Amino acid sequence: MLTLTIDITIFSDEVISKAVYWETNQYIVSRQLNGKTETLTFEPKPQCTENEAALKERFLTRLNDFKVQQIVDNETKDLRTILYIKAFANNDDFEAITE
Amino acid sequence: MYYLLPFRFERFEDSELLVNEVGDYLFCPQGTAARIVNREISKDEELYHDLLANFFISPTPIPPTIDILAARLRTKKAFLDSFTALHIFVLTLRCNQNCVYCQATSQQECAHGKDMKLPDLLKAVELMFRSPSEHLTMEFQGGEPSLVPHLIRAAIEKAEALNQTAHKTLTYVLCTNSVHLTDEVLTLCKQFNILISTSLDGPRNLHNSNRGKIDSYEKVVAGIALARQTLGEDKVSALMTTSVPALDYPKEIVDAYRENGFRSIFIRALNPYGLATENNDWEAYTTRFIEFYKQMLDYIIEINKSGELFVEEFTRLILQKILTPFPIGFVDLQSPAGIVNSVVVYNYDGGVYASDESRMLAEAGDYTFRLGNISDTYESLFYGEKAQHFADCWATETIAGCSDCALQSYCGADPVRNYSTQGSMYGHRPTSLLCRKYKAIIEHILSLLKNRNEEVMPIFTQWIKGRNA
Ligand code: SF4
Repeated sequence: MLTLTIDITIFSDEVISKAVYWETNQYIVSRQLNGKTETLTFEPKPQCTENEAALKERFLTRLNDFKVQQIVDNETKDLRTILYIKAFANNDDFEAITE
Repeated sequence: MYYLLPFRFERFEDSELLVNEVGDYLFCPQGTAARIVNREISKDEELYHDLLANFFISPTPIPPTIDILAARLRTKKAFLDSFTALHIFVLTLRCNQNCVYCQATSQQECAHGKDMKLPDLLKAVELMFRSPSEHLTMEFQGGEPSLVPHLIRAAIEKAEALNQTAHKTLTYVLCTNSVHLTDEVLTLCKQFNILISTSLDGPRNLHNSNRGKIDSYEKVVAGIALARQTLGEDKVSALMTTSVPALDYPKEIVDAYRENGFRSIFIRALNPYGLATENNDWEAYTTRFIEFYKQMLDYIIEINKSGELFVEEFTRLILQKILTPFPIGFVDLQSPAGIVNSVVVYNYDGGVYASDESRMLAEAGDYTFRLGNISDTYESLFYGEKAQHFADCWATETIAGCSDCALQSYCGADPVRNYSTQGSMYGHRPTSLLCRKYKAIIEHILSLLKNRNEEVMPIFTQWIKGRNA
């Protein structure tokens, strides 16, 4: 059973949730908020044969990668919306929105 | 200073794979995505110009090329413009074979009440013509549809009559095991230019044991030869289904296809419907299937290197998604999913289903994906509550796991498979065997492009060009 404490001023709830999601094939993960930190407990499912060091390394890598992805998503959110409107909306409707 | 454009990334072998919103990809050193967001890429670097040219960053908040990017995105999703183009007619559940992996819960040849009623069939053709698509494909399936040639004729004659005023491009496909292609069936195929899609599982022993018959191989091969002779070589194609015993014979299966005059193969995994559910160790099967796919593709690449053109169709479809701006007409790899958007099934019992797999679930008593009856209105079937409910989870762009996945542009959403294997249409990617399979196959193809580019690119380009020509 691995326990990790994460600083939530560094990693948002969204980022932690996404990293946790991909561990749920092998682990039951419980989450506990304590002020500015969050404690995650990874309980291996019966079929899991992985050691804790491997889990820790992968999970921290995922956290960092999802944090980078989150920055991309946040910074490009509006542009992505414009892109989809330009690609799929009826042009007249789009002109009306942007005017 | 530069601005970000939407992209996703993943660690890939010793590097990082970056894929943008329209599916352009770049392999970069690990840590590149972090350097990009931290604005550490300087204009002096070659990487800066690669990122700019490939729509990963922009010199201005709104990129000057946004209209090009929007046009590319629209092209990628062009399959949505025409809505449902593939209309599958399950004319009968009766069959003359006894395949071990049968996915359609077929019935004995002499079974009663398993053929589509003529009024239902004619109404289904009318429904098909309500589709806005300029191109309509009528695919006749079973059971074994060649057992009911009168229904094939009635359906096509109805379609031809309606097309006098609709002026659509019609394609007819007969999915048959080819063991009993009578003169009547072949005359019909010749008269209406019907394409034959048959199935060949590989060498004689494997094919016969899969079919539960001792002479199926001889009959199928003879049927294929007869169909080619009557209709032309290019009118006959074949699919293989990878049964559990087939997993040991990747090369032999390819060779059986070559010996029988085929220039391509479509490697297709078993799916968990119908009798096929009796193979219940899907985890082990998926692991072995991925290895089988890689071995077979390697062998096919070697064949092409020797100068013989031989295509693996599933790889070609994925390559088309990776290397070209165009969408593919393959319902399993679409987002939004192929169900309703690209395919619909009119079943022998008068039901309308969201896909072929949906009606297979229904044979096992589960009607979740039954859109309604052939007698219902087009609007209620194609835009009704059920279809809207499926839409909640039919796009890789929006569902958990897929929405952040770098391979999203090359993959597809499948609420029906999620439902049948995981108990929910939304699915759970970390435990999804479909996700594992697609990920492994797409990553294998990308790895070939990265590590053996000079060797495979001429071959892959030829595969794609051949199809787009
Ligand atoms: S199914 Fe898997 S591989 Fe495909 S987009 Fe979703 S997460 Fe990625």
